[in-house]
Amino acid sequence: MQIKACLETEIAAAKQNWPVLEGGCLGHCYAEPLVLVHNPGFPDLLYGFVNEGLARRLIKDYLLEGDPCLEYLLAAVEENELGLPSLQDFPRGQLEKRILLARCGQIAPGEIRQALARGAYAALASALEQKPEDLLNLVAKSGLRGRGGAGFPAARKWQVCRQTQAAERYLICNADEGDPGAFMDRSLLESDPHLLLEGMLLAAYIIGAKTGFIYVRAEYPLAIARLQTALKQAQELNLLGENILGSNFSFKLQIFQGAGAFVCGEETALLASMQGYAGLPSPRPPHPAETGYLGQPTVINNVKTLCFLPSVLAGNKPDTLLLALAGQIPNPGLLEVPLGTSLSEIIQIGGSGQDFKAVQLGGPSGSCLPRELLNLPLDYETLQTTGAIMGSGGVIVLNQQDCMVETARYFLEFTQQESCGKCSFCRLGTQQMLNILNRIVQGEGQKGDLELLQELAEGVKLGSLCNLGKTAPNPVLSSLKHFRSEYLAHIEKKQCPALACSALIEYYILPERCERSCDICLGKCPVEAIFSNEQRIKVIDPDKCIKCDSCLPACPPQYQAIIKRPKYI
Amino acid sequence: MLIDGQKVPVQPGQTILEAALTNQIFIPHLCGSKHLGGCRLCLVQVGSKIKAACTQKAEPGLVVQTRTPQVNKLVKMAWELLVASHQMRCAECSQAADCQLKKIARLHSLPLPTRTFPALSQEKITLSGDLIWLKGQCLFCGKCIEQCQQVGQGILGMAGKGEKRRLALWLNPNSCRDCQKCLGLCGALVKAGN
Repeated sequence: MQIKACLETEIAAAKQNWPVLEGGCLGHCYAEPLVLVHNPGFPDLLYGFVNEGLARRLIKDYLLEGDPCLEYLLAAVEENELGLPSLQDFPRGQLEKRILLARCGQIAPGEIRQALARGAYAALASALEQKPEDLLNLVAKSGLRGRGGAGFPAARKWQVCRQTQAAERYLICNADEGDPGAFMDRSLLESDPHLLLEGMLLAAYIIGAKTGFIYVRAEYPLAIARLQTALKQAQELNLLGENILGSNFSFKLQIFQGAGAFVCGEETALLASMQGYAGLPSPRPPHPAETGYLGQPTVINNVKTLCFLPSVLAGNKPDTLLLALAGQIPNPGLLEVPLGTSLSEIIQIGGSGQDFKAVQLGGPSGSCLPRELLNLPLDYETLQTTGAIMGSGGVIVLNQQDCMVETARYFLEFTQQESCGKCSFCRLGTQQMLNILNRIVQGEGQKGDLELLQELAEGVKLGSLCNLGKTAPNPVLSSLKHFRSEYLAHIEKKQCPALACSALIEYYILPERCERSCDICLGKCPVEAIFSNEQRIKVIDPDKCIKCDSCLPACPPQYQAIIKRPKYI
Repeated sequence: MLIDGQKVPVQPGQTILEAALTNQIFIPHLCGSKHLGGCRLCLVQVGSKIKAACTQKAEPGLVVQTRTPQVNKLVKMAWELLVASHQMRCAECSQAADCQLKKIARLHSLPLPTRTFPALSQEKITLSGDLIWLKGQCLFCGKCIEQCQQVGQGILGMAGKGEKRRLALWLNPNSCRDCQKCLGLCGALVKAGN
């Protein structure tokens, strides 16, 4: 926003009326803030790590005087005659196949005309001239799966909804993305809201729905604002509302803001929440496709599933995966890769190095995969053989400094807090599992804990009512399977191999490396646990130290006197 | 329908649990007449899948097993989890004579009291005037809520989520007519002073 204001001031000062538009996500999150400059006569150029100085230069030197400041260029957006490197030349660009993200970042999400110029609503226009049954067959043939995590064939769900006799049918888009570390749906909504609108229109036409809702978390204010703008613009062009584009098809679309309970991403809980009840899941069957919103057949699909539709109806295969790459890596971001890409290719793009330990795939309902499993191709069938699930598509890279027990504990704590509390396995079982894990990371683990944990995890997985409970033990089960030695180190030796669990480590200042004239760590300690002895060597009082990790990064790199080491109990 | 090898007639609309109970086959459960799928004690094996008997519709031809090793293990675990959340103050409990937990323990030969898991919260919450809810006794069976609806009040309900889930009075706490029907059903609802 600062950069935008700076650009606007600079343009005003130059007495020009060039528009500064908010763009979407290109996936190169590591290089933000990003500015894309469209200057007639040049290819569209993208600049990363933009500060106010560079923003001023872009206006003065590039737009006014024609010097594109190539030393600051990140890339050209497309291949060009000048031979400038383009986004496709990045390792990421070579691997990627952008179906969902085709327009993301390249159009201003607030301008419907930019989306139209790049093909938005073209699939709708041609679909309205065909029969819904034919379109459904096309979707069935393409093999489109639900992208919310479970991977259920979309066409089969729609078929059930179409076949059920009813006065009214509803279409709901599930945009209640709540996994920690996942931002695929949000990026799509913020960057290309018209893609979702078109997808929903197509799905509604196929199933025969006249009313649709977008269930989006209230924590996504920008996504909601951009959706509202998109809805308004689509209505003005008769792309929504009565007799769309002169056909017999009419469709109303509303935004419903969820209050932020993770469990409301579960479709029966989502329906309960939309009808004014507490967001509690209920047993299926009956499936919402038979009895859903207000008792009528209702199709609930994830954002990504619906966003695939325009491309699927244009004859393409929905053969990509949208991934949010995060964790301890230099290049996090949003990626769309072909199905079957291996995890190792993906984490290489993130820039993970020697330090790599594991990948957490699919957030709190997903699994930890170790180095040995990285060469598996990422697709639904192969993943199932390893017991992992695709989940929402969050990929979190963990390295040697991340403790697997703590990671499992963190995800379980999340699901335990987000459990609705309706069924005993999820309400009580996750609590007991969390108690055991809390004890283990505190160094109070006992013999037999792992067996009990395993037994509990399997029980919760089988016995819970809804998919939140059924998948909640996955992080624990997978880390127990692949990283059992770390659990054993915590329990038997009371040590954390990653030096991450604060109860099992201590901070220590190496006297031979400590520089007498330097007092930086002393000032950084919030609890005055560091003191200077008679030789002016700094010492940490372990009784006062709260292990906040303030001192370690403060110690200048030329000394590196402060270390973490296992606490000897 | 077959339940543990025994032929059981199926009425339309019945759940497996209802069909079993009307034919004198006991499947452990805590709920009253309204089945919520919450306690998970009525898990049974239908074909190769584990289902809750209280919410699964009974259909002719179903083969239901209530005592496979897997079902036994799950029921035992659900029972142990509930026991850990339950204080077992049987001497003070109004339901001690007809205790479902003990009945299930006898059925599955589980020793009482077992403590595989440490006990959980023992909060006390005053709902209205002198009506007190003991979290450490409540098994979340929902019978009190059902009773409250039957007497035409319908002000008891569940609030909060996860471990903070609790019994609550909706609307104005003073709107409780003090019919005390819920007290007779449950050992987790008591009057102050008793």
